[in-house]
Amino acid sequence: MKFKALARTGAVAVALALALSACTSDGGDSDGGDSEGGNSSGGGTATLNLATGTPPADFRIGAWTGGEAYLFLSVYDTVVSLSPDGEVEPNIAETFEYNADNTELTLHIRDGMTFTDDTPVDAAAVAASLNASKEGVATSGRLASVSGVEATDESTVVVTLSAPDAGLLAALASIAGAVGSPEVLEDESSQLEPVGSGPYTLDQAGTVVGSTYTLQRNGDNWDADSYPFSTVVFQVISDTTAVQNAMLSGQIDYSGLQAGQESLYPEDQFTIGDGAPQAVAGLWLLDRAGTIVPALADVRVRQAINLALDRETIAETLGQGGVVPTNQVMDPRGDAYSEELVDEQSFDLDRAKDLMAEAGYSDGFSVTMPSIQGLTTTFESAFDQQFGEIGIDITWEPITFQDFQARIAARNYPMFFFFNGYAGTDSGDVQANTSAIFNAFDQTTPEFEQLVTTANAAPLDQQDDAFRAVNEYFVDQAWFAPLGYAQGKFVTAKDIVFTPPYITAQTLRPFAPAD
Amino acid sequence: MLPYLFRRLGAGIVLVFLVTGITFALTYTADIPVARNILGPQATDEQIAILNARLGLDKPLWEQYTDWLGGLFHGDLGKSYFSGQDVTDALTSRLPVTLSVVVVAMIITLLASTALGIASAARRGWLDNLLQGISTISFVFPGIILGIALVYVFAIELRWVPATGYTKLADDPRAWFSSVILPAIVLSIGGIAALAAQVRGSLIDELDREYVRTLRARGVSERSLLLKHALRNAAGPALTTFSLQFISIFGAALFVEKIFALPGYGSYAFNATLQGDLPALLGVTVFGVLLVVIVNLLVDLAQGWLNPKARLA
Repeated sequence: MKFKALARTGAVAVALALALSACTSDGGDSDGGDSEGGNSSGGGTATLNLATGTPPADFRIGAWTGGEAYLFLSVYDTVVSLSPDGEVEPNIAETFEYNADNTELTLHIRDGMTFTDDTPVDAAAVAASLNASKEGVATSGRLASVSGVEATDESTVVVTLSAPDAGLLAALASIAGAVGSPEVLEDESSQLEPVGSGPYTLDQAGTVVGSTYTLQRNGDNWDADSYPFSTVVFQVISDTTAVQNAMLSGQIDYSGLQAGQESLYPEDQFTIGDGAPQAVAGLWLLDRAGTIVPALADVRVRQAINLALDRETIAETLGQGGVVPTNQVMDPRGDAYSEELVDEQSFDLDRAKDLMAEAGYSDGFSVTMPSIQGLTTTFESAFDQQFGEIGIDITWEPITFQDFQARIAARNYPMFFFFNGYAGTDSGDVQANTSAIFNAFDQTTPEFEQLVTTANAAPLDQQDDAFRAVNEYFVDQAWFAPLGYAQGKFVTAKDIVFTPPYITAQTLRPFAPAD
Repeated sequence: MLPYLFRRLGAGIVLVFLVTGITFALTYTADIPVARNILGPQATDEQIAILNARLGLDKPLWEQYTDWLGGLFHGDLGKSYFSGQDVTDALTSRLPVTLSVVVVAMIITLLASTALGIASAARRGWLDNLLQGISTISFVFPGIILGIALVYVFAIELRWVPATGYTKLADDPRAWFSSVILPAIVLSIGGIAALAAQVRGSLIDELDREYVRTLRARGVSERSLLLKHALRNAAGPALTTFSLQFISIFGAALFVEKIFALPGYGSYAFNATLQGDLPALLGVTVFGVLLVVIVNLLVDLAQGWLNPKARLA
């Protein structure tokens, strides 16, 4: 009798195992086939499976506020695009040129392009989209210098600027330069059913809003050959462990890789590579007028903060190989970044103490900074110890990530630690580090304004030097205390080749089948 | 019967207003900077003000709530701040995902706990001790650990089931089953222990009653005694526990859906709460309250069917 009971229990266990094993043929679907949930290779008919952490919010021109721009910029073509080296390349605009004082950009629209609703991609359509982006809540900031957009004939658009803007072309290669069909530009349907001329169309039948987004290749796109996958499926996965599991089980073909996780992926199944530098990590010293902490108004104190920061040690011990030490907020691939500046304000505790004493703060001072679980907490004890050496006492105030931006913007903290993504251009990086929450106290100086104005107005071949001067000013005046830049890593399935682009997650061009 | 049903549904509707009102007030006082979170760290104050106005977040609390209630009366739960999707559409497409997992989990819970409870109550001795030990361990064992272990073995190593995602039942029944079985097992573990203990306790009580001894004296077989008479009488309390398990499992689906990246009601509720997506959160609340009211009603009706005395009460 007891044996029978055990046998029954065993039978239940076997039945469960069989039930699970019965799923085999459909479950993992990892070894081939171009069905949803699996990967495959083979050029024209292959499917690429990707994960996105944030579902797209709104596909309307000027309203995109989702996470990665992959989806948006697959459906819409942009006025120009960025090469893997970060150079501006033709796209909808086949050629373009500035006038002598960089206040007028003339775009010559490529012939023969159409949107997927068969409306022509002409100058009027481009002007309509740029005007929508200029008003768009998500893009108006990037086109702030634009005072007018006009289609002067069927294939020419003139963009007039209120002042020279060295970041304009890069902006026109981003979501701010996306062009959609004028037939539905204002239509609410575009929110989830976009009509563009991009390399892919959003397949409504294969899309479940908030969960799965399926793209089908648009063979009529002028550059369709650069996009070898016929279908691209985005699965929304917000949990990092779930992304890892999806990668390991073959459900997705590519993922960013956190430092220290390389060993999870067997070499015979996955390819691991170095991505592009993605963001600078550091301290933004906001209260440079000394409103909350008077000491921060003194450049010697800000320099002392930089000198007390042992970047090499922090990057080595806490960065797990994913952080490269730097004392500059500018993109290391950009021309404004200066190797000569790298040794400026490098770790020198004695000099830091001297500067604090010279500034009248030999006893140090207290400062409150926001603490966010999982973001700042890793680095807090290192900052406590290193800044403690020069008498700076940090109080970490725990806040949620949801409240973080608002509390910074409300000037609750004189300085904060964060990561700021690279914009893709030197002008963009200057803008990104001196606006919004990164300049919550609205601090500037006449010298800085002059340097930026000069850089923006400089002829294209002189802009590198001009923006390098801005960067030198940042370092000299110690507006920030950068720690290092995050050097992204990625992992792909063996049958996928990924060539790291200049800006991550902008287009699907970096992906190709291995064969 | 009908007046009873109307009374219960009426109470449910009152509950919807109460709970949504409280949810609205709590979310409002939490003061989550929605527009800033949507636009990101590079957003200027001007852009944030424009988006706040567009979303209606610059209106007073009472006006926002009455606007939402006005929509509710017309069956319109509004649009998500973050996805732009109609909340009713989102919930009706996501609820089947969660219900798939929850129903499979409930079936597993019901079958496993009934079998364990009966075996423990009928056999007693070492088997009872063993099953109670297993129940205790499964009760305290964190479901999330089990989830990770199951994913590692069955999805990553064996690749029998997908690690993430969901397939609709109508599209492919086998793929549907493989997409819900692991989350369902994770969800059912704690419930099996609780319900098995309830079934065991109630059955032991019933088996000690006089009518059982009488039936046994009349020569009724042990199997019939156990399954036909004692189990039916013991089912009442177990059913109450079962209904509580449904609510508990429904709530736990919130975390499990995140681990398995299931596009269900739970992950929608999770994101809406974190983001302060008020229309989505209120829609989740309305659907959740109605679901709980309906399940409790069904359980009460089942109680009445099992035990005629309960109908009078």
